[in-house]
Amino acid sequence: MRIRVKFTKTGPIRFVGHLDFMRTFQKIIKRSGLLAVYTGGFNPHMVLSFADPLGVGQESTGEYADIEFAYRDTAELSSEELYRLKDIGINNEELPLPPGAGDFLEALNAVSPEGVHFTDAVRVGLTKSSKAMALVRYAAWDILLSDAFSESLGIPHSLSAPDCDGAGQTVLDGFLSKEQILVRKVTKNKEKEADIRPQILSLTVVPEHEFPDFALSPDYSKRSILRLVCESGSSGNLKPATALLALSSYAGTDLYENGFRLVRRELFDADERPLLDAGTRF
Amino acid sequence: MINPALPDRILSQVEKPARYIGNEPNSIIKNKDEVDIRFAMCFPDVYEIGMSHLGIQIIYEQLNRRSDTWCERVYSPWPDLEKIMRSERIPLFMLESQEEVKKADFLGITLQYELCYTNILQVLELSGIPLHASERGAEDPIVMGGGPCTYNPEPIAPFFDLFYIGESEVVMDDLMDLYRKMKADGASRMEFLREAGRIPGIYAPIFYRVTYKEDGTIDSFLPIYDDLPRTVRRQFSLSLADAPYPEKPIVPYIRPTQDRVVLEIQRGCIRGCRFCQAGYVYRPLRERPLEVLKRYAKNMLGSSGYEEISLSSLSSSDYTCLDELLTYLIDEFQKEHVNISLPSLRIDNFSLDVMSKVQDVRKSSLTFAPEAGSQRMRDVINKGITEEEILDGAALAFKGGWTKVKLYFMLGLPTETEEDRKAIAHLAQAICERFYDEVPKEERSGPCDINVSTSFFVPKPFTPFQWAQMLKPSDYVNDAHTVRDEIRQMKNQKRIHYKWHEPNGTELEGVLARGDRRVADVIEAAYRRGAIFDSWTDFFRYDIWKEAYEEAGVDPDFYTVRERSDDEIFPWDFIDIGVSRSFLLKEWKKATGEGSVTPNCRQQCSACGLLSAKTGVCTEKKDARAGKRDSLAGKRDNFAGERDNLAGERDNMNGKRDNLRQP
Repeated sequence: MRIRVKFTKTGPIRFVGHLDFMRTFQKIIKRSGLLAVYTGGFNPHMVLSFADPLGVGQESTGEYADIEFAYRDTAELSSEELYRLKDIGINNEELPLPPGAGDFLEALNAVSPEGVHFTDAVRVGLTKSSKAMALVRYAAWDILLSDAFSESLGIPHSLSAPDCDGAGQTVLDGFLSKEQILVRKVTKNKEKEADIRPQILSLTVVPEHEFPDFALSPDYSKRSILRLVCESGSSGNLKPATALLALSSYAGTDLYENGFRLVRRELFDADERPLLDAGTRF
Repeated sequence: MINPALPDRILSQVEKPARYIGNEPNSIIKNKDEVDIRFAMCFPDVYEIGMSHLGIQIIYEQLNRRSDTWCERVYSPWPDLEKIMRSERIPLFMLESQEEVKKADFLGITLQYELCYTNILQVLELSGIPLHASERGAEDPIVMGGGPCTYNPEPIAPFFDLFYIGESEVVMDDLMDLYRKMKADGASRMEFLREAGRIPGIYAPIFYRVTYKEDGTIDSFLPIYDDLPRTVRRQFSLSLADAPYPEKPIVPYIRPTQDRVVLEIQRGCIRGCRFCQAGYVYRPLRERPLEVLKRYAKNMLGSSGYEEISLSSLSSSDYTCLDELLTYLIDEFQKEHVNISLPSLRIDNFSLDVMSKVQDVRKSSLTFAPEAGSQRMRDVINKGITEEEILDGAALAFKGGWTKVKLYFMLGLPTETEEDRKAIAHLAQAICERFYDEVPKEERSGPCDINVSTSFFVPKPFTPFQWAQMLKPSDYVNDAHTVRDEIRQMKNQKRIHYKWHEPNGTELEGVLARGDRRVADVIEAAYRRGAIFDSWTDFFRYDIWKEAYEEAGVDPDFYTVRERSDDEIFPWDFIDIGVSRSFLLKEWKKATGEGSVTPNCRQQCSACGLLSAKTGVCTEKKDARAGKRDSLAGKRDNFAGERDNLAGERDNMNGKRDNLRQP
């Protein structure tokens, strides 16, 4: 049974890179006592894939991973799915029934380090094309701006000036109204200009009541947060820092390298639905 | 949530920031206001190396069991962070609380290899603690050393307030109790150190004076107060059955060198190889009971989520219940997808059967550590193993399907001649021939591969070879070339691959291993000139050390190539490890005289001096046949061997740097 989990990666653990985080993640599953499916051979490993790797230093409240568990899949399986199970030597009928999603999440959360919290789990299909990795098209990012950076961008910080959201949005709307947003991309000794405008779905000022509830460092005392929804994943990817760079140059300022913090809030499929929606409750 | 000591902008620009954030599963967070003693436990090397060390995890467990004590970890910052810390004046911090080291009552530093000494000075300096014990005040932590290098602490004595000589299980609690009481009573730092120096096994170097003879050797070594002991006795546990053990090991986020659950099955060794310090300073052999080990394995795997477990000891084949233990691990955990990583084992039908169950025979290689090429040389070092036994073991392995063999040797051993060095090539060739003799052409899955590697011998205190002269630095490479050239003469030379360890650090290791207090000036001078991470090949700079010797007016030859008389007072002679000096001298004479072999502790007691402790192997009935065949691969499992691994790993890491970082 393939289960898609949604989880967070916040706080100091954001400095654990993707590959190391994968190993950490496997150990969480192992400690939880849940029955994962393993590959054969002398170096067995879990069948596990992440939707979209997160960069070092980035936080998220909307991470996804698909994990195959040795529990009976009670959904009606297609012939393709049955074939796949047979291929990895699993007889679905012989497997134990899965615990309920609540117990399942509880087992994981009981053994997770600080900053990693599992918030949801659904059953998803067993085919290659139904993997989170294959589905992801867009990501929603919250960009926490430092006081200095937000001021230089002309985006008033929300707490000190509660009704200034509109002024900030004007800057962003002006930026998005451009027909083309050109950025320089350096790839293997080549430098070319690329238009990132089509990669951006939306860029808005986040109202205060939607702020993520993290402890923030003093640099972020007044809190201005932008929400960027843009392409993400293997079919097309826009780094939030690239969009910020373009916004900075539009606003006539420099990118403050240490003036922002990134929190990924959600991943979406091609229909702009959160990846959780593709699954079924169990 | 504990906020990181380093701000985002710094964590974002250093390599592997996860080295510095703490917060790993099973790390222990306490309320600092509810403890009386804060203990910073430091491994003076990079996080991945330090986190692989079992000893620290044992002490961490032991100290944190006390409700009045919080033990936290400290590692050397990588040079990229060090630079930032210096320029921004950020003090070194402990991982758990992310608070500066200076807030601790104790800074415990484990001394696993001599080449970490400059890193100790870096840790002290970055912590804002004066380098010299004599300059420290009430606000500074008590700086205490422990581990194998304390068997000659003299080269670093001026930098330490205390040394703990022996195993932490014995008097650590007494020391903590004393500190807590004296702190409450408002005692001064010096009053505490003096009182601590009266606890058996605790050495307070500031209270000892050394005088030298005209020839530079030691004339006297005495405490300045009559209530301090003239001899410091090594402390060791009489039983390991109930000793603290990290049943909930810390699980690092980034991959440590030793990325698995480690079971220490026994301490000490019966073999008495004459070059091996661990073989003497951990006597007598004491086993952990089988049932206890089974429980540890289950609890550690369950609490960590590790999918690999390995055994640790000096010569694992000597563990009496090894068969039962391995069978249990395989039966119990293989079905849970746990890899069993085997230690070097004596090659016999049982071990080959076990190996074929847990690893891919075609891909894995077998490790043999004959240590010397000729039988004469093996007898000199007391590696009780014959050529016939080596060849028979290899033949058995070849018949079992293995084609890859690793052979470890040492060069620069006492009495070694050119013939002995060439014999390394001859032994490799003989093993190769066994392959072609034993395995019919149609059954061969490929050609055989013999990987020969040599390292240079460094004499260590408390071994029979503590009297030995080392070679001149220029001789090392020549000797390695002799081996290389002889291998090229062999019939199957294309199947024999030879690697030798760089000799650059060998002389320094020799000076630090058998140095006296005067060597401390060299270490400090080298550190001031930029020496750091000397055990990492791409950091070690011979030229700095050369300048440092000159600046300090110390001649390295005095410590390395000089001939020592039988009755010379060594800098470490104030320590009593339990093995008598007369026994070591007898062994030295046997080695360099007729080259005769001393039986192992299970065959016959050779009266080394520890019998009176009445524990471990000393209380077993002797059996002349017992453990007669040395573990062929009785590699210096976790000491010299581990060191080699760490060095290798360092080289790897140097090459692989940054691979794991995401854009």
